[in-house]
Amino acid sequence: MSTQQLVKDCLRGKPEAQRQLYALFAESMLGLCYRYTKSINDAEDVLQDGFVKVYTSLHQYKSDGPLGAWVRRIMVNTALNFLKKNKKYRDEMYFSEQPLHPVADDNPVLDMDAKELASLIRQLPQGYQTIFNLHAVEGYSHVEIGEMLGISDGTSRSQYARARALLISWIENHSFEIKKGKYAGK
Amino acid sequence: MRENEFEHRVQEKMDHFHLRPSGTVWAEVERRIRKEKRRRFIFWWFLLPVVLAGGIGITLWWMNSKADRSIAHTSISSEKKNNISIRSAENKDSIKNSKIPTNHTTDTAISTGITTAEPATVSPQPNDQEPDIKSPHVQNGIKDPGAGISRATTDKISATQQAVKISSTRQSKKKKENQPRDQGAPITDMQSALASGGGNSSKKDKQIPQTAALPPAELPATAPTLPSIVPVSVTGTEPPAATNQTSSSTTINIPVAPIAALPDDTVQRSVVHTILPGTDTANRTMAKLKLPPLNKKYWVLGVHIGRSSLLDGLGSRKENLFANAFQPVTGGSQLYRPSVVNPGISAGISFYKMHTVSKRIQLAFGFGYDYRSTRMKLGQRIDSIRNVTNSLSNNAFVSNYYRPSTQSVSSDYTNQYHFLYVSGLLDWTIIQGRKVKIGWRNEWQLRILAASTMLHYDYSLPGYYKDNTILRKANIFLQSGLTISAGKRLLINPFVEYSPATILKNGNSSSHYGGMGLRILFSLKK
Repeated sequence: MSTQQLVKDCLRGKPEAQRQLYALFAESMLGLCYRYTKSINDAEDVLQDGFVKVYTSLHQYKSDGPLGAWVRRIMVNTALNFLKKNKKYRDEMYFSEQPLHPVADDNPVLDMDAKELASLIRQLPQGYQTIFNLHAVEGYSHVEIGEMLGISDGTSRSQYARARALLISWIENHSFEIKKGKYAGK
Repeated sequence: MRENEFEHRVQEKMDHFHLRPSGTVWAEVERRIRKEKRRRFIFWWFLLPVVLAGGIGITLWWMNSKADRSIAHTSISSEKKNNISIRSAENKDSIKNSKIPTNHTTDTAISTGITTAEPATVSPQPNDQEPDIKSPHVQNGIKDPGAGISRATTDKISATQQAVKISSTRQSKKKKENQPRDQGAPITDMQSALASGGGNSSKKDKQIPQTAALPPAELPATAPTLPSIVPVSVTGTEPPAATNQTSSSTTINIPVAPIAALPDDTVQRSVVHTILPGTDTANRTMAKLKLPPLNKKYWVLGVHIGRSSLLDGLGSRKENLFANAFQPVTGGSQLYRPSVVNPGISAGISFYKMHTVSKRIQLAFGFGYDYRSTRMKLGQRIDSIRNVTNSLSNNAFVSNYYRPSTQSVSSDYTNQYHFLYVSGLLDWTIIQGRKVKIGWRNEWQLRILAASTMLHYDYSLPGYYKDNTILRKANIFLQSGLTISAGKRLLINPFVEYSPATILKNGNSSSHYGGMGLRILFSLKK
């Protein structure tokens, strides 16, 4: 079944089509939600809210772009709303105006699987985590991030540079630990 | 760019990062979609009659007000124009209460002037020309037309005055062609006829031939609608037998009011209700023209009786309605099955304050009391304190409960509901006959559940107990039905009703109040 047909059937309220749409995107979108939150339960809550929005806003979807990108955008917005509304996250989402931190140009080797990398991203402070996800993974510009989070693009740049540096240090540490383990094993 | 290499790698890794959600996620998503869909359905279901009734009401109001404006505009504009004639004549003549000499006619323009504050008496000036008023409107339209009215003045009427009359007549002709007979046309006909008589020139007669030569057959419909010849006292030495009677000496007094200070509606009503009383023709025409009593308010007492039931959505009655405080039936004992909930009776009393908005539309606000009931079969009553968990996950203690009905022990139980409510309604008269009026009535009620004896079934007991904390206290009810008049004060109102909100606070229930009944409405107006 083509995506367009799937959308049409969903708009007609066919339960089977709705289930198919869910099955098509649920796993990848839960991965996305997982990166923005601190627990799998919260990630599933975001996923629920996001899919309800997808179904109730499906009539707004225009076929000029891929459905996956549209669903992804809704999930990101839902995740950001969740972080803003949830007190646990809202208190940690503090974006201080800091001097611009130069972005390091080191590019460590990512010899870890996706889940390990996602776990490291989730260990970043909430503000760093959010901006890193938006810029490095979703590809939003700092101006767009500034508008989404209500901060200046300079703050977004600064926070991202710090987040990136911190994550790279963890990745290098992680690589070091793995190597150490390998050597110890030998 | 070296910086982007890291981001690309992260993106690639994350694109392949998938997690399998637990099964409850889809179940919850599906439930919320259904709920949203139902909420929208209810919203539109609720909105549809509102929009429909509103649209019909506005259309009818607009049509009525358009017709009213047409009448008022015609009468007022003609009166204003004719009033100019009076003023012109007054300025020139400046004579009050004078007598009309023989062979002279009154200026017919005075008959329609109502804008001067003081009674105007016009004495026509000598005129060499004999009036040639062929239209018998004057004869029929004025109770005692008087010879003077049938006569025209006057060389002293200015050219301006004549021009006004002619334009008035032309307007009259146009409106007469376009409007129905019982609205503006009769008024203008009369005025035109009078104006044509007043003009009294053969040239004018040629310009307004329709006015001057209306067939007598049209007279009954047209003549009495002459506006604002309000108390016209005509005294003559002998009653006029024909329009060309010229030998009477006539005095005409016309008390008039300033129309500029009156709203359209007032002017219109005063016109309709004061003109030309007495004649049958006039009465008939006035009856035709009788306007609805706008903004009239009165109280109505309503009593109703009917059948009340619980509906599953908009569908049929649901069995096992209160199973395990609304949990699925699975796991229930075959020995104890909860009773089917059967419909019961409903009855109530209500008061409405009716507002007549237009001829066909009535709005009302009211309040009342409603009793509803449903019936079911119960088993033995157990007087024992039990700790139960209701569907809102609240722990509660019940001091007694009922076992489900069995073959050996079975008794009837009535769930009772007592509601107090306020309501608003719109009544649209669809058929307005002389004897029977049929309308469509839509009522919206906000009901507060004041008390209830309703029992809930709990599989864990198993048994029934009373727990009103899970019942929704505030409910919206929609009622729709016909109103059929039975006499001057009684209305019969068969109706159906439905509550879009579920009867329970939690969203899992799909049970709604519904029913049908018959209401008798008694008007308390004098």
